[in-house]
Amino acid sequence: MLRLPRFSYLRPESVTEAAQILARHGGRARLVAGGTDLLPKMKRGQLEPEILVGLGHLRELRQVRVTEDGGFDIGSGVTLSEVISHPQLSAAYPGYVRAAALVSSPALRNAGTVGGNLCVDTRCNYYDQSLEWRQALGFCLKKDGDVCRVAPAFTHCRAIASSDTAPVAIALGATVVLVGPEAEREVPLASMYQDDGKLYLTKADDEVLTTLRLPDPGEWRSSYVKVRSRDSIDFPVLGVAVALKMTGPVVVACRIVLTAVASRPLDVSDAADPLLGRELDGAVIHEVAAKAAKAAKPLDNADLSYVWRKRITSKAIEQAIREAQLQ
Amino acid sequence: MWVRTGVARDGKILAMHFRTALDGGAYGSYGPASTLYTGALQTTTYKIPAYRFEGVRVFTNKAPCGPKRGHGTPQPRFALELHLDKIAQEIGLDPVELRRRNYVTPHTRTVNSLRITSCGIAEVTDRVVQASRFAQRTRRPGHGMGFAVSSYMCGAGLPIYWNKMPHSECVLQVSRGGVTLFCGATDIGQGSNSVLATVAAEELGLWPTDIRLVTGDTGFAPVDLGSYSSRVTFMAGNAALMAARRMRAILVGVAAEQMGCTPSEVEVGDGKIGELAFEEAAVLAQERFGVLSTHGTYTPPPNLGGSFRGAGVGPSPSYSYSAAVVDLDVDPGSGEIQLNKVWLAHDIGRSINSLAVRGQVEGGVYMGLGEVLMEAQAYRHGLHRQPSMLDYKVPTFLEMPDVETILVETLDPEGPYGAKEVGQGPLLPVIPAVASAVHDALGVWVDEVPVTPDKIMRALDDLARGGEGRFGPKNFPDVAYPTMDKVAPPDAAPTAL
Repeated sequence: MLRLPRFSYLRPESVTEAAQILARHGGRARLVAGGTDLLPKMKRGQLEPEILVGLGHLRELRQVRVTEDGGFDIGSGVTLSEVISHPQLSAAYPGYVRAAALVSSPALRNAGTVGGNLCVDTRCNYYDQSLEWRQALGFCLKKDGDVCRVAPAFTHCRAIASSDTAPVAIALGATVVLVGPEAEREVPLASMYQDDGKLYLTKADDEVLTTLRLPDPGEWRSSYVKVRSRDSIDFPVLGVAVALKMTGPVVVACRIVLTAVASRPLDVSDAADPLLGRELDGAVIHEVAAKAAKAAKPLDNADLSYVWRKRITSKAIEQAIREAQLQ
Repeated sequence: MWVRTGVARDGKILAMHFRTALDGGAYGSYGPASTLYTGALQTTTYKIPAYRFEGVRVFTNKAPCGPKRGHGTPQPRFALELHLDKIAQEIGLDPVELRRRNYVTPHTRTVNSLRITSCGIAEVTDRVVQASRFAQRTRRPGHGMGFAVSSYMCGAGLPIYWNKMPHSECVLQVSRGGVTLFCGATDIGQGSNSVLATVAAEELGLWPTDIRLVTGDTGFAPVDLGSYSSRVTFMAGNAALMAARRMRAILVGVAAEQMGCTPSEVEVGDGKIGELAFEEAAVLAQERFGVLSTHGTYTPPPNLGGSFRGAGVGPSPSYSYSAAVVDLDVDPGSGEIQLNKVWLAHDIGRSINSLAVRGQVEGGVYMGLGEVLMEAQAYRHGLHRQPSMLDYKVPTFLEMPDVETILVETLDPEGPYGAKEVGQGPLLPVIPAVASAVHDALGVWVDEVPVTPDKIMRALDDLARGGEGRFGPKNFPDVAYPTMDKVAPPDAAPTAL
């Protein structure tokens, strides 16, 4: 049985205080809300914080509000289950809510939060193992080692982005509010990620993600297709988010964001250009999906064969476009 | 595995040659027994007039492994059933009909001297084919149905620790009107305690809840060899039955005297021994004899198998039979499988506790689906690739299709009330039936478990390139097997029971 190591738990009175605690302790402290990603990783020695800074009790993070421009501010502490059962969110952002509903299992969605899923650690089956297993093989770039076990030629970590909700939120043009010890800033969600499996977030260590800000859905439709071994519980081995704006039958805009094919959500919207100003038909969807799939470069570091994951990417993109169209 | 079979034009099997090579990991474990099991039970479903088996187990630098549900028989069953499907296709015969033409019949000996008694293989086939409408299945793209049968032992005929003690023993004690059954059998969740209590209660005219059980504790209870080999209902059940019948005779004798009639006129049931309440009869008997104690034992008959090298693996006092039909859809664009339904008919001999029996069937189906679709002991850089329950995939509730369980009772002549095993048998046909259904759907063979979307797509690629549409091992290692023992088949005449 794996046990949690010893740690201190601090309960800040506000988000700003949480950020100040993080600033004071540097890398020794980490935020915890649902804990569904963090606590198992502490048991396996993947993450070794000495201090956990709790956010779960902060009411300011647990609200869903309509914004002045008709969008929604979703507090980072809102649970995924609350997102799924929120009638206005379901109507406005079906793709985002669908993605939230496909995260793990009901029990984990009851604990897991909006912010936690956006910041969920990148995954690699050389890294997501017990300390003993990693010790036996030798450590890797992601933690404690200086070589990538997927391929020694890689100079940076290729652990894969595994958030289901991030790609849809990016496709919908979301921003996030990051609160630091002294100031807060709002940045596009897409810019919070970078293609490095180890340093996958651009967020500063002492910043707290407080709000996911989704713009007015307007005419945007959205969808999310998730590929994995078991639809009951598994992480994605491929995720496709599509946001589609249509005037009548004609496509005005289309964004496609892939997940689990790189260390960050991969925006492949450029491939959707042939759709613009056109009606959707099988041929053009096929053409766009094939082009968009080219950017996907799955590696042998997740469940199922990476050749197969690459192979079915185009098909999953087609399915996501069709599902967005049908909304 | 490697198998070659000679069949006549009418589909009758003439001869079979079966080879296996097992990757046993770094330690011996049950290696010799497991290896022999990969060759032993092909003959308990099909009449094979001439049979040659060669097996080898290899030590490798991997974790030790041992038997699990089906002990060395799920693997050859997978190969054999797909092999027969292919033969049926080759000679243009319906796969169910091909099997029917070769089924073993009750009260016969197999070529490797195994004694077949009750045998419901034809009945389980009929029932599962009817319930699933297998023969009338409609054709739609990507939809397939697969059929397979299997057989399993009701306890090994020989003990795992060589000795001449009984395989199972029970002591039944009646004191102050209360009944306690002592038996070394261990209930590992399969419900063997329920079977023992039910058997004792049936004989004594009580309810199973009236029987106090002391099981598993080797300090208090007499010997039972354990919960393995699907043996507990058959063997401990028979020991309990013997002990309970002896106790019943004592109580009936006392009651007959009291009633002034003969023992045969005393009816037992509804908590009564004749006109006396059970407790009254028990106290009367105890007044006369002291605390009442009977014992029962079970030792398998001596003539279950042959005498050739390796013949100790395979003999059993009886064999259960299972047949499965799997209904699924496969996406030809991705190879992903959607399970729709599994029908499983099982020859249980007699169902002593139908709820527990159905539970075992569903559990077997569940485990079989995990083995055929997901599970793999895969290694990479010398380490297990999936060393946790998140990575080592097994189905969850949501992956489980509907299971329709059909119980067939053949009343085995030696099982307690005719009962046979259900712990392991129902898993066996599920694995080949899934692979067969994939072939039915797409025309490709995946001759290797797990049957994954990737392998299905690669088999489709093979088909598209003009190949035979197959994914699986392409060769069998060149093994220097030792010289064969040649054994004449046993006298084919039915064995007197």
